[in-house]
Amino acid sequence: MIKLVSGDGAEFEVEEEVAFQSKIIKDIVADADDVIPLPTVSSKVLIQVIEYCRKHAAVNSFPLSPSSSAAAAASSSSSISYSKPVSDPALRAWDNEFVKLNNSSLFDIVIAANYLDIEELVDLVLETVADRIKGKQAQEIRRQFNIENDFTPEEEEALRRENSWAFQNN
Amino acid sequence: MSSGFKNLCAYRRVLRERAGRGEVLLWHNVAVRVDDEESDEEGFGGFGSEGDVVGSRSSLPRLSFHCRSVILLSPLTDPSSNTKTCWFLGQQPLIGAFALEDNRSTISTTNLDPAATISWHWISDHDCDFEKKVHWKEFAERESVTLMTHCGHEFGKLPDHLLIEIFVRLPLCEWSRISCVNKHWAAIFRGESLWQTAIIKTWPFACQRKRWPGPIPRGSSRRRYEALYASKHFISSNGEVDELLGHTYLYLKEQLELSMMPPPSSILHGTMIDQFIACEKSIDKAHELSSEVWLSVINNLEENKRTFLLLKRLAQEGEFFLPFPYSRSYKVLWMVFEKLFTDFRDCLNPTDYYDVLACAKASFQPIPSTWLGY
Repeated sequence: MIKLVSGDGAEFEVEEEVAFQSKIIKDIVADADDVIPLPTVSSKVLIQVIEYCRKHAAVNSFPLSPSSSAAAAASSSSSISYSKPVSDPALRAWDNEFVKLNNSSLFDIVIAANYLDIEELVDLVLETVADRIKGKQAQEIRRQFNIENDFTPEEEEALRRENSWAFQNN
Repeated sequence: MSSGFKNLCAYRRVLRERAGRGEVLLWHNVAVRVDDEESDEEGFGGFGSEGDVVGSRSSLPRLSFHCRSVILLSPLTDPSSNTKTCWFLGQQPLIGAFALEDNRSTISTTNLDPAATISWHWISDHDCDFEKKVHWKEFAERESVTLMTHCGHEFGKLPDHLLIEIFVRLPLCEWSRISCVNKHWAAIFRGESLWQTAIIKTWPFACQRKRWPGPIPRGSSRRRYEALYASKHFISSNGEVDELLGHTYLYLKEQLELSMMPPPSSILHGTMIDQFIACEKSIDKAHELSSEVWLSVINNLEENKRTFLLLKRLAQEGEFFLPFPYSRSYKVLWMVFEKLFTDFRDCLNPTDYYDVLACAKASFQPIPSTWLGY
């Protein structure tokens, strides 16, 4: 068991394979004791991250069914893909539920996951946020994420012209 | 070890002792700039627990803090005296990113109340720490620190590299809209990191070599991205993406669209051939690739008056004064006539038509029947 201590002092005991979803923790444990302070992560966020790691550790420890492992092998060999998609449909569905959070919570999680180096979780959250931006006009994005428009109309127009990428419409 | 680093050790000891006496809050994660004179390297050291290094200078833009208290040994060094180094200590939760630009420090934080008090310390070799309490704003003005507080909106929490990771997951056609959301995002699209990340994501095997010989420059990461994009989408080269082809494509396209009077085509052709030869292609291969680029550019020109005038001019330029291989290939010239006589036939007035036809006859015998008849 590994003990994780959140920034506000709460302690969480988790199994090694759960904690080792984080590469950072794996590295720390290799040459330190089993109590790991995570001062930058709040309890609220840490609970969510542990929940994610627990689920993924459980699924990853089962051997994949032949079809899905073949599919995984095929996708990894053909790929120059940046992020490997989660192959198991049940886990995918679970992930989709997991990220049904407000933007602010998602950002907290991704910052923690980035710090803990949990690649799949970072990927999942960034993908989710990107989906929330996709297809929206600048004004809608500002409204949804509560971003202030700090441009004057003229500046914005000039920028729009500058940034209408030459190769966009081809 | 530099004096800065010794100061750091001393300072850490002081803080430890004071923490033991309950005088300062316990600090968790400290980022420190270390100027190591010996290795001539700058780096960031942080001591969460025991002096572990947070990152080197190259990772600077990515460095972000999410700490209860921050002690920063920032590069706010008094330029007149190298021994003085400014430290400051935030006593409240900070999430910040720290960047170095033009010797100005930019500290961006999410939840920093501009009226909040921070304590900061001057450490020099002579007088050990004396402490002052100032307001962030006042401090920022005096030390010319840019404080970017993005209180209020949620994206402010995210360090830029995560923001970039979100952007590169969005389709290209959305980028022009996203870059207009606010000034911060616009700045990201002007910077290098976004384009570098996008290149690595889209073309992981794109050439990373530093040296780029030849007359056509490679330019910024954004330019490289555009070149790779052009190579993938506009040039038919067996599906292979070749940055070199992309750059020559952009070069030729821009030169042709430059003004009403672009340089003579033989000069453009020669420049491209020189570029290919500089990048270790044989003369014949260079000639072939250049023709390929010509065809791609001409094929992708918009159908408008300007293009018509350009093609007409290319057709009437006549024979080329440079010897092989510095003259355009006949394939290219053929394409120019073909376009004029088919796509732009309606634009030709009788005088133009017979003039261009005469040029065509001078280069090609026999000419195809589709070109004939006004």
